[in-house]
Amino acid sequence: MTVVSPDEVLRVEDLHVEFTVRQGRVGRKRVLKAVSGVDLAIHRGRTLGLVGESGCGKTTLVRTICGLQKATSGHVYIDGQDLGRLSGIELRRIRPKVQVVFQDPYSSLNPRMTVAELIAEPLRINGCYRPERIDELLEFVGMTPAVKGRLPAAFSGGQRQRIGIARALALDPEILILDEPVSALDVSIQAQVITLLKRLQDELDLTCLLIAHDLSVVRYMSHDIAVMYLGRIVERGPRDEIFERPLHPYTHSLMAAVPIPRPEGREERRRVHPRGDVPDPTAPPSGCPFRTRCPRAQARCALETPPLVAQETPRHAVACWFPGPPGDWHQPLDEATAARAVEA
Amino acid sequence: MSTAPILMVRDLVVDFEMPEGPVRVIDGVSFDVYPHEVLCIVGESSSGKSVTMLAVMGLLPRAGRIVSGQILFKGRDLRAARPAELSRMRGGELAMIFQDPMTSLNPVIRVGKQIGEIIRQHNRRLDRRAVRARVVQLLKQVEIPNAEARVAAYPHEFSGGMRQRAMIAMAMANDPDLLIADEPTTALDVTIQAQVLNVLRKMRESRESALVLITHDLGVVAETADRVVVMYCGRVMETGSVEQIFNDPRHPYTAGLMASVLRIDAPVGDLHMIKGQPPIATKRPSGCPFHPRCGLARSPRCETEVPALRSIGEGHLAACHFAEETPDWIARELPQILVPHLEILP
Amino acid sequence: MSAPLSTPSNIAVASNRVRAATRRRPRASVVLALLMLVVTGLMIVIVPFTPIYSPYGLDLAHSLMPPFTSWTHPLGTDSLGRDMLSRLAVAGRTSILIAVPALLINMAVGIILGLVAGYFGGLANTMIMGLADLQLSFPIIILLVMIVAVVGPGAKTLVIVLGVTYWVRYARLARVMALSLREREFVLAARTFGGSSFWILRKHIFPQLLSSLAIVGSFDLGVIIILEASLSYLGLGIQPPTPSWGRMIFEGQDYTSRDIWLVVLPSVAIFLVVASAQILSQRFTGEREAQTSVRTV
Repeated sequence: MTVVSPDEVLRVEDLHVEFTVRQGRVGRKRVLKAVSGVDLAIHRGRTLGLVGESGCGKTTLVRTICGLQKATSGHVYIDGQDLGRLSGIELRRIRPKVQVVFQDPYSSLNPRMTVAELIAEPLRINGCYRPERIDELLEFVGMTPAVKGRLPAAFSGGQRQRIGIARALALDPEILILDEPVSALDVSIQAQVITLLKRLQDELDLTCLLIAHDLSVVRYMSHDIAVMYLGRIVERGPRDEIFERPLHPYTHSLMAAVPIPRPEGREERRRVHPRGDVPDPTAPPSGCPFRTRCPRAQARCALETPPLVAQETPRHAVACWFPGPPGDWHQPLDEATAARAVEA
Repeated sequence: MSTAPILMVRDLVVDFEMPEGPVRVIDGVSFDVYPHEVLCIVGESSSGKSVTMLAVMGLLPRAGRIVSGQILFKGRDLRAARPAELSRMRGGELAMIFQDPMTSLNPVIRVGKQIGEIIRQHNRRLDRRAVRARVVQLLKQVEIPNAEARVAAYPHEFSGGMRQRAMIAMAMANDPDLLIADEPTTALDVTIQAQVLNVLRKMRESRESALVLITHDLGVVAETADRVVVMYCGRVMETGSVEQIFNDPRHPYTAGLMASVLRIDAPVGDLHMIKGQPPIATKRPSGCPFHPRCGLARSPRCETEVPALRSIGEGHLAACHFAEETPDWIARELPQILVPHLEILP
Repeated sequence: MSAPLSTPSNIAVASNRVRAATRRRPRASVVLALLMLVVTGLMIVIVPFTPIYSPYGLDLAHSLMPPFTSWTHPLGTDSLGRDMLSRLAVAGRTSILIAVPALLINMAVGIILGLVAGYFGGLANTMIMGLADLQLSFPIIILLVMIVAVVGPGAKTLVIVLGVTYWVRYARLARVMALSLREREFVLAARTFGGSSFWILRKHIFPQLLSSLAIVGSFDLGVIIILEASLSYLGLGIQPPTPSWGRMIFEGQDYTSRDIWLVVLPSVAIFLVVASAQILSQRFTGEREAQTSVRTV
């Protein structure tokens, strides 16, 4: 029995989530390891930014944390309670503690329900409906209560996202999960919504898990950052340390890949990208999952999976046999390494 | 550039038919594209950036109608061209790639065959073997691994990034003079986006095609553009070289965008917000479309008079009555733009 | 990998509405359908209160009177002198009173089974869909005839029997709707609030079915009426002396050489009701198509 400190709102321990999939209709059954041994903890009042591209397992991880997906093994503790040990009823009672702001403002709100009904839904389900609460929440997110009677179609993406945020805050959750909250929005609106989230983060002392596929969003709001690749956390640490001294080659490539809105220096920045494509998650590479695209891969990387261990400072952990700053990243790859990297 | 533009668009006006009457979606757009250059059209949703290029290609949806304006491609009037002529140009001298390759690639035809068809349409003399060889060569150029085998694959067997690169191969197959790419990387992951843009750049440079890249991502613009057109609500707000636009924005909208974009090379501070929402096409503001959200707007002029796109520097045009005052305004209100930037990677 | 989605902007939705808008003016067929329904409806409702009402009164002296020849019998009399108009009215009432509950039973059974099968999947889905396949593989008429033969004919039997013949349609609709909606983000959201499956089915999935129900339901009403008429024709439906359109056709068969109205009148009555139901069903379909086709710009 693990003792979870009272400060840890969320704790994930050695979580594995696997699916059996069938290739085509009559193909063999394969095992898809969406999440492979993830450890995480978020303390009260902190925000963890989880970054990873499609196929890295962050969606599955989030769903497991929300209780929408059953773990194959491992534990998820919300406020000390192990989700895996809860019955259906107990699980439902714990739901108000974990609320989600979804990615797509166009499909996370039922188009036939008015704003008032949408925000009221969590309150009604949990028997704590008060009409004043709806007004409160709308004002919280910078909208006037006058819009209560309208349908989602009357609002823009940014406004719908605000409604989603208001709804997620309705139950005073212990932890707020933000699933790519701005990626579906226009640039000028992204700034508005991020600023709103930051304000709420401060005013309400929220504990958040922020999921994103690119680093620039995560940077604005997170205290700590974790990078995922093919179901594993490959690097983790305080935000500034990760940005100033990224140690995992995948983190380097994520940073190098973000286009920077400054024309000067773009020749030098000509982004070096990892070669090849993300491997098939049902047939991941042996050893380190990133080795097929990594410029530093050596023989050892194919034989043993590197564990996530602290490097340099106790809170900064990396899963790599050859961690280190980017340094040689911008050197052209030699032909042999390049050839190896491409044969994914 | 002393050469003539390869594409000239002048005062393009496009309406869409609605039950209440026609709605103006493009309200007088003008810009030039020069040979071999990269022009980025940047705007948010409902800015009309995609519709503009669809109009140029003759691919407007049924409800869309070009009301007036000129579209000259290599001196030829595209509006007057007969549909057969336009068809011939598309895929040949003029190519376009879209955001979602899954809907532009035929899912039931093998990739190699689709690319081969385009090649054959514009090169009737080539025999099957030659076409196949060219297809394989193209796939290799866009960094599709195992090109020989992949020729026989179906689109769904490719990943998103690979499909988009296959689209690039298809578009570049006949060495077009102008390639239009409509948000080609928007639906892709960040590292895949980098890869696709790299491939696009390589292919374009080797063929010396001009590229019009439509995007909402200012980072992509900075990294790829030679010149930039900033659109808002169906009009051009500002146009100029990429350095001019990023270092000396003269339209408050451009400046606002610069200041509100999320970036990793600036210290984490307060983001600037452009207040309000982009208007919908049916409720276009009077006068300057940006005036309800503009920090520099002054009544009555901004509300009543539509600003013309006028020259404020060499090759630098802005549609703002007060473009001369913008730098001071930026210094006062948006100092973020002027802050020195961090080096992200050594 | 998700950036500003192509929002279903006003422009795109509207350009489809243009095409729909031109159909907005009430079509001739709809007007006709409503007219037919009104006429039949009036007949059914008003006639019983008129002085000429006499569906059972035998009057052999005045048997086989042609229609439009007398004020006391506007639509003539049958072979036993009973007033045709009254009989048609009563028959109509009976038909509606049987068809509507039967339809509702079909809907209720189908929707519940379909929602359960679609939302929960697994064993429930397999069993329910298996049951559906079983039902569909049986020719309906034979099934009904068998049941009626065993249980004995009568109005109540008829309602129940008709009520379980068409549930599969609704089950399929509900199942597909549940399947397609259960992974939608707003359903996931409801689960994160602690919403029970019942809550989700009731508040999020069922309301989306209503427009389809209108389409299929109105169509099926016509089908059920015809089925009932067929059964009555065969003598397995509504029993004499209660008149029914189907039975009236049967009784009038022998007189077709001369007194053809005995067969024509009930047939016309059936036609009016069923055709108008089907036309309205078409109208609902058209409206739904106009609403749901959205292209993005």
